[in-house]
Amino acid sequence: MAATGILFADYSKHPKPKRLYLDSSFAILLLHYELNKTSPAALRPKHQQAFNFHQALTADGVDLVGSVLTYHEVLHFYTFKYTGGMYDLAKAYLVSVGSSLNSPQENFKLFNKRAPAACAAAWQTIAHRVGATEYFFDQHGIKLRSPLPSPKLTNITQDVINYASILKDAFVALEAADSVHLSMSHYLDSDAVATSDLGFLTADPFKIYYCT
Amino acid sequence: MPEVIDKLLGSSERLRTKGQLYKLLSPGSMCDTMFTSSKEDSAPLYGQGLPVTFGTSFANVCGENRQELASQIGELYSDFNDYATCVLVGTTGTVSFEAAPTSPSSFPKFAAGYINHLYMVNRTLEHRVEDLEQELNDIRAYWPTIKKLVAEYGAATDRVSLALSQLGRDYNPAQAWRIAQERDVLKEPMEEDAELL
Repeated sequence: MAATGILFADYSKHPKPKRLYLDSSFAILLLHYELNKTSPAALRPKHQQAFNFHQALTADGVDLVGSVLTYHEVLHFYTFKYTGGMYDLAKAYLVSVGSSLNSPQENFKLFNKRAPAACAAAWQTIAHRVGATEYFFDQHGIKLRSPLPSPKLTNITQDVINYASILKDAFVALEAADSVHLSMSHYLDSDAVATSDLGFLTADPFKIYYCT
Repeated sequence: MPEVIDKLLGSSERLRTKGQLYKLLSPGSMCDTMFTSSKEDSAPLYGQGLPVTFGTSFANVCGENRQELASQIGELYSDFNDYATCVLVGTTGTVSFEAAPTSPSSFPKFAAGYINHLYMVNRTLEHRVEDLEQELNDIRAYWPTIKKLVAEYGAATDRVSLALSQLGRDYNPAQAWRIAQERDVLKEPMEEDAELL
């Protein structure tokens, strides 16, 4: 069996969730919209859909939660992959010194290793993205929670990982991080998950809000 | 969590105090003796102030706060009379009622109802105290773990606070967001693949 999939646009046709877990792909769509809402040419329909969905959820008072994983992936996207991020800056540096290019991750490591001062200076041009990411979650009412207390006192961390492992084992379309998102969504007592990643739609028994 | 425990303990203690008050005023107590020994032709005590005496141990329940004790006794009498006030001096005091039997002949009936009411309220309060004590006992089993968690979290928070005081001076998320909205606006969409993680 597959998950119960509901398009963002069909949100109002279904019973409202009390708590919705936001995976990073949804948060990235929303962040992209908020950064570029004054530049319509930079937006795709799914950015607008994510914004409209968030507006509807907020109007209905749905409890919006994410996890450490949501935060981590959005922060990585914005500081490294988003246009002008560290991957672009590393690539520009290596091109300027005539160095060969490898994967974005390798380019960044090379940049930091060969020219640490230039790398630090480049970072300072986009360091605001870290604070902006935290502010984004706060301003959009997305509470970042994670059932990961001290491993000495509870086995919840192990339980989350165990559940994620079983999900990954069972569903081929789920990527590793997706399985952790789904596991935490249940441990955070969420009714459903919002994402733009269609791989989630294969995972029974989850309810998935998505856009295409 | 400690605040919750304190609150529960506080509630339990207040109920226990109130329960003790009822016991003090129940049949066989000084007040009961006063009611049963009253004669129909004697002047009613109401309106003139009902004298009460409390033992040292009972007074200790409320500590040195006489005003609090007087207030609680006043509330207690209000349960069966529309309005009552209590004034305490040391371990003795008087209770005055706004409503009272209108004639000496109605006094025994009024007193009997008064005693029955005391019995019922006392029983209810004792049950509530027992329930609260049971809840407290349930929590006590977890208390060592809770204390350990709180201590560990407190120590970690201290470490983080120290690090933040050194690193976080220039960290301003609201300002960062304003900068982001100026600098990070794109003229065209990103490659769709770039948004995939």
